[in-house]
Amino acid sequence: MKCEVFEERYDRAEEGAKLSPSLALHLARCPRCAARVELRRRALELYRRPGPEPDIASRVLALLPFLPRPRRSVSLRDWILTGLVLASSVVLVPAQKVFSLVITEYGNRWMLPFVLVFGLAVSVFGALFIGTHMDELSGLVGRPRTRTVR
Amino acid sequence: MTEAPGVPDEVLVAKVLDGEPAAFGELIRRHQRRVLRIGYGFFRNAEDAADFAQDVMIKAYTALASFRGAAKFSTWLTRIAYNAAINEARRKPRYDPLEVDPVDTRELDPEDRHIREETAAALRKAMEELPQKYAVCLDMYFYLGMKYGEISETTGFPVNTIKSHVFRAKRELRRALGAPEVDG
Repeated sequence: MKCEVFEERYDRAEEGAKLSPSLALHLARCPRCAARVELRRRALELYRRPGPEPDIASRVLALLPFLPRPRRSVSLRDWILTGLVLASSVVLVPAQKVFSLVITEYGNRWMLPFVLVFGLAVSVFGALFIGTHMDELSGLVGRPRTRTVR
Repeated sequence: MTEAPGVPDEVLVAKVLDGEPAAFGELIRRHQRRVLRIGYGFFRNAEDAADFAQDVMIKAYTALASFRGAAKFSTWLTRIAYNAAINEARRKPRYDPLEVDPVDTRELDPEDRHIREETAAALRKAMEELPQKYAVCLDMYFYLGMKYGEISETTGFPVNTIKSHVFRAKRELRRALGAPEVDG
């Protein structure tokens, strides 16, 4: 492999990534390219040398007592799973044999507490979901959102 | 209390969420360099960069529960910093960290100082030749040592775009450093 080809391919590889066998072989055999690679490694090491930094940690730690404590929250995936379980139970419970037996035993009067219990569960779920996702929901309505990594 | 350096970031995050805010201090110490560098780049002033870093760390603290561990903590934090900087510097989002490079090169021997200055000059030239919004990618790659994928995740730019800009900068760097002397 010519040195020009090596340089081109070496520059296309990610810094610190494992070299392909052909590049590694050329590097082992060519002192000129090896010296260039070593020079660049040294140059970047010098370039990355950290300078004096302000003590951000002390500044922030002094402010933490005045900030709301971060609390664990339920992930959106768990919210959706819970919602699906709730929705499917609303649909599936009346289809169960035991439900027909209850209706036969106690009559249609039992329907009212059933509807109330499920209605309450759905309302609580909805209220909690909205309450814990205010930021996202208000972003959807109008405020421009910044992307966050989760 | 100072946390052991070997404790993974995710464990420190869990400690903070469990009510040990002091663990956040260790997270800041580990990652403040990245945030400060982004601050230097966008605000070109050491004091503003420190204020910016403080604001970013507070943002990260209050949003800590939304960190799910899907990305590395450093990527998550860098992304918060990048988005905050873009929003704050919206009127004049020029990125040039070298204007306020805080490294005191007098500590280096003359040869190392020369190499460092050539490297900085080559990368500055490469940054100037790019559309401004991509300059931060070169700094993330060459100064912060971030990988292509991590830069893409942080900035939202496609990996191939970042690769091609970095490739051109490497060629610039190679030209600037020249051919070293080889024994034998």
